[in-house]
Amino acid sequence: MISSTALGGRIASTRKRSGLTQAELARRLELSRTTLVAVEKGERRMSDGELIRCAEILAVSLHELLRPGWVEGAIAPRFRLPRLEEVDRGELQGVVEVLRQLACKLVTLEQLLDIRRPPSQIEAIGTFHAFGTAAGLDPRLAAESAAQMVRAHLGLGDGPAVALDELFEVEAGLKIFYLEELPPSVAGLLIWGSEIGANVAIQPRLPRELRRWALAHELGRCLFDPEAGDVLPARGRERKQTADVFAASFAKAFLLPGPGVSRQFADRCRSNVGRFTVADVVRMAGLFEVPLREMALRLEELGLVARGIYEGLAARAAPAKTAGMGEAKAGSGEPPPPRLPARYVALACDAFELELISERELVDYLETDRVSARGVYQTRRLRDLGEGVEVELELARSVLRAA
Amino acid sequence: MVTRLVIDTCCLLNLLASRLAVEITSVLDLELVATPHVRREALSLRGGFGEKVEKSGTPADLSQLEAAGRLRFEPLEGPAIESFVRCIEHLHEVDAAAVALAATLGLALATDDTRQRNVARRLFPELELRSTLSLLRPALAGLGLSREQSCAVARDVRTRANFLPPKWDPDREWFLELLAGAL
Repeated sequence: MISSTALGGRIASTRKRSGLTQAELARRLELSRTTLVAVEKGERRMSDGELIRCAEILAVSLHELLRPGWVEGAIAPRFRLPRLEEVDRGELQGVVEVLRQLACKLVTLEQLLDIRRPPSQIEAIGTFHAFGTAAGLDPRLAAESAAQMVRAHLGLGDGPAVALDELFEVEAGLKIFYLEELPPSVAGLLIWGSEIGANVAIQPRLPRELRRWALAHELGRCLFDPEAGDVLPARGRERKQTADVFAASFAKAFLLPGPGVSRQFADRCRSNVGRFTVADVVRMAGLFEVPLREMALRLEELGLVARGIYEGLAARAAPAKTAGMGEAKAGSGEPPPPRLPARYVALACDAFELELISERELVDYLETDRVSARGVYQTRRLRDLGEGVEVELELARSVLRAA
Repeated sequence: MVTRLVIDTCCLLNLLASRLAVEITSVLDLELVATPHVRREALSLRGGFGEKVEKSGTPADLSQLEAAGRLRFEPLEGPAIESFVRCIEHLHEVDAAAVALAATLGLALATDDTRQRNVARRLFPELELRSTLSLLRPALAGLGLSREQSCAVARDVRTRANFLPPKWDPDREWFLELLAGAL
């Protein structure tokens, strides 16, 4: 049974997050404020009826309040919501809370499965943060260096970086969610907390290349200063703060490494007998899976093509777009990315297989209905061996050799 | 004599998927008791074999069972509240409510959920536990269905509710054989 002190702390923390004062919660519970103060200090325990009512008022699961192991999941206090055009702050705060709760659920699953994940090599690198405080260091140069270091750690060479989600999740400890709740004019959101680590929400309605760019940008922000978090607009004027310049430069240098782009450019010129056309820019953008704009600008920046290539292309498009990511648009034809990271789904299914959570809890974790949750679980476990034979796998069973 | 039984959402969904929920409860002379949490949960079923249904499923209809007097909802009150709070440390609200209601009313609890069953056994050792198949198997026999009809029922429960019996269920092989016969 949870101690009164721990329970009181959880109630206080949840109350503060909900924006209720002690006086307001006490009034709604029909308790005196001094009684609620005593409850939150652990000097008094609520009755069963009061507990149920309290959970309803705070819009929190009573199971979460009482279960052993609780993830408060506080976001670093330095995170501040910026004022953005076309974005309602209340709506954005709501998305921040959705992301935080998903982050808490992931940590809860890791706790249930007794997974203690050591920091990845990239997470363990603290040197990038020094760039934020060292005087005189150009953040663009710092970002190029950071991107090279990260690529070297990941063994990527100078070629296109594929499977970014898996790469960043495993190697950089980022938890990546694709949240439809993000306003269309927001491309990405980064939050960090000491319990939950770095969590990123990416706009699922963006085209694939822009999603990758946003993800790389948020990794850059995370490397530079994770506590500050980030809200990345989908379009708008270039941001000039050091952290933004670093992140934007990091995304460019990571996804379009200078040596790799130059090498591809040279190879194409050789193959085309000295020609390099707009079609080649498009093909290279496809190879590196980046927006056409970024590919063109990178080639210009590296001095490989004439200046003004992209401006020339953009001038023929209507309406003209300002600098930025580009807006989210519906119906691009490609299937949307899954909302939840694959690892999260796998952990939830493992916890269910190991009888650590119930079917109803699995439904909550997968954010779906019972029948769909059963389907997700079974799809992972059932394998067709051919000739009409289907086997049910115990995916959570260890296959390591005994020591 | 009518047998009252608390039914968890997971079993209720499977009974509804069979398309014979009223018939099953009638032949077994059962009155199913459920908590309000079950009604609040949005239950949906998939299409059966050969049926075209929206990917999101169709809402599961409880009205026929209620109209036949085979399903009623009881709130958690009095001593059930204390049992509920005892359970909820270990279980989701919906799961905890079903266990608490059954323990308080002294009724058996029908659930296939392994974790819920384990917690119920630990907290309320005297609580009788039933499963979907412990109802389905005698019901199909009592209804006098042919093997082909029984196979069709099994296929409906499998496809409409994505049901597969847990490994501990003694009727698991019986159900899988019916499914094999339905192919």
